[in-house]
Order: sequence, then C-alpha cells, then structure tokens
Amino acid sequence: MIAIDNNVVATSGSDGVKLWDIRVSQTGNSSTPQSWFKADNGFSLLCLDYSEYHNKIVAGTELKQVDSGIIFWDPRKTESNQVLAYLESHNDDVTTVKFDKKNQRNANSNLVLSGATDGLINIYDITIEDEDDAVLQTINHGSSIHSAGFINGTKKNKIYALSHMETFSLYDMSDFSTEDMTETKPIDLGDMRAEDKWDCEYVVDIYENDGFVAVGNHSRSSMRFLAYDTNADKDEFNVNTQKFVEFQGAHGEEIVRTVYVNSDIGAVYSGGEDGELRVWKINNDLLRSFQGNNNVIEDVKDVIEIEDISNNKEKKDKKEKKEKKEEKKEGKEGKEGKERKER
Amino acid sequence: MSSKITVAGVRSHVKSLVEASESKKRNFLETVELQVGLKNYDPQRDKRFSGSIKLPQVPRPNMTICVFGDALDVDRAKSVGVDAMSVDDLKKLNKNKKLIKKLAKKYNAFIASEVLIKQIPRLLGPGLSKAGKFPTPVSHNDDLGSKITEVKSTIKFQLKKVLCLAVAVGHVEMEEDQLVSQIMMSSNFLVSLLKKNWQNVGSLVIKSTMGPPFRIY
Repeated sequence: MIAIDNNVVATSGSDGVKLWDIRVSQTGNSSTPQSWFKADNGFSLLCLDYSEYHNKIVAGTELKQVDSGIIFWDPRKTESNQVLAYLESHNDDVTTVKFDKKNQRNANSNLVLSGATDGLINIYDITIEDEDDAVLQTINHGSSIHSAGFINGTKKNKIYALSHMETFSLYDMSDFSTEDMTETKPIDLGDMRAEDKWDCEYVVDIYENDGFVAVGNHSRSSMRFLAYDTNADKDEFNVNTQKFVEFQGAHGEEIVRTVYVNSDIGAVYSGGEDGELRVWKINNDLLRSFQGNNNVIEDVKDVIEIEDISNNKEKKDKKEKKEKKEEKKEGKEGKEGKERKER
Repeated sequence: MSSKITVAGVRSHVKSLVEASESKKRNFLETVELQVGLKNYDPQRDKRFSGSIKLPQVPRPNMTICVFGDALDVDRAKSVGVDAMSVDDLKKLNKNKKLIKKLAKKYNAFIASEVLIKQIPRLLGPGLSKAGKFPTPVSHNDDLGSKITEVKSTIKFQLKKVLCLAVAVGHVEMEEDQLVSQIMMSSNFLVSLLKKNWQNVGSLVIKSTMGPPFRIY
C-alpha cells in the first residue's frame, strides 16, 4: 500500500491495483475503489510504488506459469490500460519494486528497481520500452529478495538488498553514463539475525523515509525499530543496536509483516500474521529524537490502544472519517485482512 | 535452537539408504535428496522464500558450468577443464532469444568475470534471468577452481506454493560421514528459516534417486 496524495491511497492485491479515496465513506462490505487497474493476464500483485514525477504506478507480480515481472499504470486514467510492462527479467515472485525517487545526482531519475524470489535485482530505465535494452543492471544476491532499494549519494549510488535468509548486502549501482562496467565487490554484511548485528529473529523491513529498520523476535514477542545511518559515498550502512524503540508484546508469537509511522500524531501501526492491526501510541519526542539525535531510547511500554481490525471493519470506517491521515495504513491492513478472509 | 535430529539417528538411516542403493546398482550416480514436509504453514499467506547454503561437499559432481570470461578467465577456465565463452562469443548470439534459451538449458550454472557481469544484461538481454541462471561473479583474485566448487556445492531451497520441498544434498558414493553432515547441515539451516522452526516441520525424508525413502524426522 502506498499513498498517492493526502487523500488517495493505492493498494495491490490478487486482483490488481486499486485506488481508494479516503474522503469517500465506505460502509459495510460494499466498498468500491475509485479506480481499479487490472493486470492484462490476471497477475496477482505483491508490491507497488508510485512516482509523481513519472505519473506512474508500478506493481510487481506473482509468478504465473512461467511469467512474472513489473507492470506500470497511469493513475490519472480510470481505465486499466497498462502503460508499460517488463515480464522477462525474473523467474519468480517479484517482492519489491521501487522508483529511484531521491536521486541527488539526477533529480528526475528514470530508474526503477525490482527484486524477486529468484534472488535477482534488476534496474530498468523506464524510458526504454524494449525490455532487452531497458534492463541496465542485474544483481545476483543469491537468495530470495525480501526488500531492496536505492541509497543515493553525491558521488555514487548504491543498492541495498535484504534476503529472506536475512542476509544483507550493499551493491554499487553502475554509473550508466560511463563505459566502466567493472562490478565492484559487494559489501556483504552477512546474516543480520546475529547478536552483534541486528539481534533479531527476522527483519520486518527497512523504512527509508523514516530512517529505521524494523526487526522482530517472535520468541520474545517483541519488535524493535533500529535507527540507521547510511552513506553511499562512504559505503556505509550503520545500525546502532543500542538506539532502539521496543514494542513489547508486538504480535505475540506471530510475525510482524509491516509497520507505519505517523510522527505527526505519534502513532505507530503494525500489521501481523495474526490478522491484527495494532496501534501504538508513542511519545512524539521519542520518535523525533530517535529519528534525529543520538539519544539512547529505552523500552516503550505505553501501549495505549490495541484493536483487532480484521474483525472490526466498521469501526475502521468511522475512524477513517475522523482521522483520515492517520488511517492510511489502516486502510491497507483492513483490506489485507479482508483478502485473507476471502481466501 | 536445539536440533531435533541427531547424528546417530541420521547415520543409521544413511546406512540403510546406502545399502539399499548398493544392493541394486544403477548405471548412474544416484543423488541423495532431502525432502521436507511442512506443517502449520500456509504458503498462500505466510512468506515464501528461496535461499542457498554452501555445503562442505559437492552434492552433484556432474553439474555443468560455463564461464563467461575476459581473456584471462577464459584461459583459466580452460586450464581447469570448464567450458568458457568470451565477450565475442556472447556477442555472436546477437540477443537471439532461441540461442540464449538453448545456452541456458545447456548448463546448470554460469559464472562471469567481474569485469563482464554488468554487460550481461546488455549482451544477452533477460534470457538468463528468466531461466533463473544469472551468473555468479568471479574476480581475478578468486581462484577459479574453488569458485566453481563453491557454485557447485551451493544448494538452493525453494518454497513454492505447496507444503513440501526437496533438494539434492549428496550422492550415494559419498563417505557416510560426509553424507550425514550434508544432511544435518541442510536440515538445520532450512529449519532455522522457518518462523516456528521445528514446529513447522512435519517430516524430513532422505531418498536416493531410485531407492526407498527413509524418514529421519
């Protein structure tokens, strides 16, 4: 799920990409999306991203027979015509897809990356329609990609890759303007579950906008946010495990799949494999200092509100009207819960 | 996390497996496969994964490899008796989809010189990615022979949308100790990737290509 603007969110699922206007009240089970983009050959979609500059939504597909890849739509249009698709460069589920949005060297970057269960990360130039030429770089991480993204620097750019084996590496992105195509050795940080690394049982995800890594421990029923600093020019990705915010209880023994932080109202939302959405009230200063300064942060225990959203869609709808911004994440969780029930 | 399988237990099953294979010799080298049945796992909903682990021994010695090399690596590949292709050879394929598909089918895995690997998408298009055989990089500082062994001894787990998975961990002519450790290592690694570890394992079975299955867990 991603936000298109302050009022519209996009979700991806087994039946395509849907845009939802959260100002429109959704009642009961008869919710209707504002727009609905379906993939031409009925792919299920696993991840998505949006670029305002390109006016494109991109989604990564599940493997269907022998095909998988990424598909683009124009969100301004209501009919579901794909504007572009690359379906030759992966051979398994595409789990992550990102536009290169913060490129400091080239503000209007045309690059998109996709990572998949086949262990590959592809970087495409989306101004080229022919996939044979559009794929500029392929990185072989070796094990299936959980999450990947761009780390932009002033001199060079890097790509981070986190696998489902919880191995984490930094790769140099090729400088596509020069002919020098030597692959430099990746910085392999190894298995991040180790105590001297991120000390966890699994990694939830890396939240680039908020500058933290979310990690979980299901046997300890806990989730932590670890602040990180990264510098592509210096080949750095530093996590200070002493500087964390801990969510005790988390989702019990179940895995936390996703989190969303709204620092304006000091709320953290977490979605778990137990089908629940939990809302955590956390001190705003804590979030800010966590994001900015070097303060050591102790455990957070003030869990104020815990709701089971999968069983309580109506409540969600009411809240949605009241606090639309806050609800962006919840919209997704509610929908995910619904989809699970449908299955 | 304690392992639920013991060396002694696995060893006795390995013995029976090897005996069964020896009692009826086949005309080829039988592979030993580890088959895993999962439980309390919903592959539709829970996260799916694939991953690789490097084992001490090469499970499938007959695996074929091709090196995409610069001049030095082509020479090095020839000296260790492995097929190699130069940039010019690759250019000759001219991004022809059929030829690239054929190439991908001919070999089990590919290795490419560091200086070359970034050109692979431009030279060959996405064909190798599509086949799941995008090359592993090798630098001039690496020993090519040991890199090839490394690629050969790396096994890949792939959890699809079904509750079972299988992976080749060895062959019947391995030493008993080697086979036992290959099985122990693969099983324990795989289990560490499951979210509830041993609680997610329904069964572990070892089986040679033509032989009967032996349940080790």
